[in-house]
Amino acid sequence: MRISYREAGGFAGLSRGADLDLESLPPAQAGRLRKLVERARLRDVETRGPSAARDLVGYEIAIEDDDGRTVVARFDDASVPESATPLLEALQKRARPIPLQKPSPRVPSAKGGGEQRGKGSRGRT
Amino acid sequence: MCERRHPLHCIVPPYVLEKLADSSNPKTRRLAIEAIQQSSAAAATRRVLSAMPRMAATPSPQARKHRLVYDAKGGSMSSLPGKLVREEGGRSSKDPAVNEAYLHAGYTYDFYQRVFGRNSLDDAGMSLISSVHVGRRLNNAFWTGEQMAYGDGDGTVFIRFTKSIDVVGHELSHGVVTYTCNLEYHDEPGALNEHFADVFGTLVKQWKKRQTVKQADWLIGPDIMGPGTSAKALRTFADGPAYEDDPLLGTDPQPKHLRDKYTGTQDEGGVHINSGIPNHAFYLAATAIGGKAWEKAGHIWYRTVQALTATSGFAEMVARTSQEAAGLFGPNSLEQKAVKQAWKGVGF
Repeated sequence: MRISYREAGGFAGLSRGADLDLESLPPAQAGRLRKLVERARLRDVETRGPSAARDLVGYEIAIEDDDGRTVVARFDDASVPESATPLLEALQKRARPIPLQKPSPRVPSAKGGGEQRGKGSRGRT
Repeated sequence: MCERRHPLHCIVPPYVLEKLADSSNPKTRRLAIEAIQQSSAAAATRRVLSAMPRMAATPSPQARKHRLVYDAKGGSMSSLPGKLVREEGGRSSKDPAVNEAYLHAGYTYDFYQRVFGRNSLDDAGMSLISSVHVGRRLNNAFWTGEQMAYGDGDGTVFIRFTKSIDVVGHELSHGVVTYTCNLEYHDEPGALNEHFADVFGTLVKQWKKRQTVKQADWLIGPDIMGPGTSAKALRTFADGPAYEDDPLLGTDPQPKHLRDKYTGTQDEGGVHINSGIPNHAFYLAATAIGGKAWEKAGHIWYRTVQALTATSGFAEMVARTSQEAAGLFGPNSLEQKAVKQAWKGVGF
């Protein structure tokens, strides 16, 4: 299982994230994350807080399971699914800065397929 | 659509929601407004609501400074505002976050009232509602459209967001923008929205400290930085980055010149990034004019925020500040020249 996590915006305007391959993590850590992913029950949805809100952090969690199926969930501070809170906290602890990418001429990855996302192709330098 | 957290969502017809949105009970009003905003069946109502932000304002009892501070106790957006812990004139709390939210909101109210003659965010005396301890170790503070929400920070990158007067001034100024030109929150209009929040946020601090442009630190968020980072602040109006190669924050992404404008899609098209360009222009104008920034540059910008429209971009901002400077201080005045020169300095 692979997890790609991104956070952007908010008052701080930071761009951070983490790309995790559970295979390469110590088994105990991988097991904990796997449980949090199950509990989060993420689906391919994008939820947004009130349109009048300002300074919300935008979150994106992409999960590629062992069969290569990918789920991408996007939400913000005002619309975090309750079930995903523990997973989000675990990922935030692992988040590191990701320099802003210059937009590429290709279709933006936000609208692209899950495969690129699962490989963590975004945000690397 | 019905999986969302709102009890009013999906079951209440839009016209009833509109009625509820006028309720005197803040919780009822908030739920109704959120339900309207999220309901696909209420697209028309939603358009009306975004055009009429006044519907979301909580009128205060005597239409003057009226602060309410709530404790969200770690709850999320759906639990706001939380438990009322301090109201206008009430005793101070043992909780520093409560007192900071109260005091800093008060300084912000006083700043707008004494400097610009503005009575609260809507200029009609609406209550200033703050919730502290929002979320668990939330690394953020935000304006919900109706009230301020402050996280505690994770204790490493950030500590509690109420601690910086400029952070509180920034969030409340989002309210002022909402009730004036209501700039859309994406791309250049969004960057201007962030810019006004930073400008007035930092002016609240400078005004409170009675600082001249030379004494001011021109920083945003210096008091909320946690022990895990050596960054001095989140943003700076002055030259150069606020932080560089920080292990937790990376490098300050804000451009100070139009040629470096971010054109990607992240952060609603870089609203917290590209605000660096007008921020630096404000700094250049204010320091060239000299004295205290709120006395002249602040007035030019305050007139401008009332004159722009929801879709205004940088070009309109440049033209309007120059026009307002001429209106306030005369054509070809030192002030107007300083404003023009400042925009030139960031590439316009």
